[in-house]
Amino acid sequence: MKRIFLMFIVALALTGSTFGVCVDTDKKALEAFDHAWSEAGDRGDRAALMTILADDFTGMPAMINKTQSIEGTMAAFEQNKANSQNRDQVSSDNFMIACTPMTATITHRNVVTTKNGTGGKEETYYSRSVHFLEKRGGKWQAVSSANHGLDDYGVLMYMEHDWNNAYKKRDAGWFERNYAADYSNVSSGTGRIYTKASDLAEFKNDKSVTEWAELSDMNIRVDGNTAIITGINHVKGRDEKGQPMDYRLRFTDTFIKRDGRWQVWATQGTRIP
Amino acid sequence: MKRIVLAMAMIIALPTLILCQTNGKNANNKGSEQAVRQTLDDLTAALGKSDTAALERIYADDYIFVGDAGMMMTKAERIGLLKSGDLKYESISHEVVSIKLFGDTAVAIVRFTTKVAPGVKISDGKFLTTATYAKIKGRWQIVAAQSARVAEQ
Repeated sequence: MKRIFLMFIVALALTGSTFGVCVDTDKKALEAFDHAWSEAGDRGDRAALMTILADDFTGMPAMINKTQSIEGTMAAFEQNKANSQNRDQVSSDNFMIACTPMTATITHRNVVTTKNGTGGKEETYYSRSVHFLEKRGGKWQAVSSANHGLDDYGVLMYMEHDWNNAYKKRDAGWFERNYAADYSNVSSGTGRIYTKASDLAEFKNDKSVTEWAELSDMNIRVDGNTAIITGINHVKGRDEKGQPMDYRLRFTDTFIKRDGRWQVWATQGTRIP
Repeated sequence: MKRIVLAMAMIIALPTLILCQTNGKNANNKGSEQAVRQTLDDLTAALGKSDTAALERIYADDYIFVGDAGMMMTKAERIGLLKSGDLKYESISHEVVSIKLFGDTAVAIVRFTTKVAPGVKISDGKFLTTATYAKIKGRWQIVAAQSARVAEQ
C-alpha cells in the first residue's frame, strides 16, 4: 500500500513538473510575442492588436477592455506620429517568463525616457508590466495586463542588479550612463580612489570575468534626491590570470537623482573574509 | 529712445544678475562645505575623547557604518563600543581628500590615522573612508560611512 502511495506521489510530482516546464524555446517565443505586441502598438497596427488581445482582455489598473486598450494605443500612435521629433523612447528588459502548455505569465521592466519631463527637461520613468496569456485556438493571446510605476526603491534595486549585469556583459556603456560625472569609488583592495574616468579605464583594461553575481542583505534608504544602499555582493568568476575567484563584498553606495534620473555618486566596498 | 535705454539697462544688468546668483550658489556651497569640514573635526575630536554625547549629535539616527573587515554597525552599536571601552583611541587624526555637495547631501572622502589605547582589541592604522552626510533639521549629520584599511607605504 505504501509503495502504491509512493508511486502515486512520484507520478503526481512528475506530471506536475512536466506540465509546469517552460523551456527556453517557449520563453523565447513568449518574449517574441511581447515584442510583437509592442511593435504593433508602435506602428499603429490595429489588425495585429486585434489578434494579440483576447476578446475578454482586461487592462489594469484602469480596468479597460480590449476596445478601450486598442483605442488608447492608437491614440498614442497618432500623437507620436504628429510629434515624432519629441516622442518618448521606450524599451523593455528584465524579462521573467513562466508558462504551462496553455497559460503564460510575462513580466518585464519598461524604461521610458521623455524629452518633456519636469521643467521641460529629459526624464526617465520606470514601470513593470505583468501580462497573463492563454493559448486559444493554438495561438497565444493576452487575457490581461497590469502595469505599475516603480517607486524609487524599485528603480534603485533594479539599478543595483543592472550594475552587476553590466559587469557580466562587460557593458562599459552602462557605467558611462549611470555613473555621475563626479562619481567616486574607494577600492578596499588597494585603498585607491577612482574617479569616473579612471574607474572606466580600469574596467576596460580589466581581464577578469564575472560569471555570476548575487545581491543580498540589501537595505535601501531614500531621502528626497539622495539614496544610500548597503548590501552584500557575492561574485564568482575568473580573475585576470584565469583562476577561479569567489568573494563577497559588503558595499555602501550613494545615489543622487540628478537631471531627472538616479546616478551612482559614490561607492565603497569591503571584501568580507 | 526710452525702449533703447531700457534694453541697454537690461543687457548690462543681466550678466550682473546671473553673476550674483552664481556667487550666491558658490557662497552657499562654500558654507555647506565648511559645515561638513566642521562636522568632521567634531567627529575626530569626539572619537578621540570617547565623547558619546557629541557622537549622538554627529551620527544620524539611522547611521550605518561598515568597517574595514566588512562588519556593519548601527549608531547604537558604534557608540556602544566607545561607551563600553571596547574601543578607545589613544590618538586619532584625519585629512580630507575631497568633499562634494549635492543640495543637502555631501560625500567626503577622508583619511583617518588611528592608534587605539593599550588593551583594545580593535586594530588601528590608516583608513580611507567614504562618508555620506545629510543636512537634517538644519544640521549636517553623518548618515553612512564605510572604511577601508590602507596598506602602510
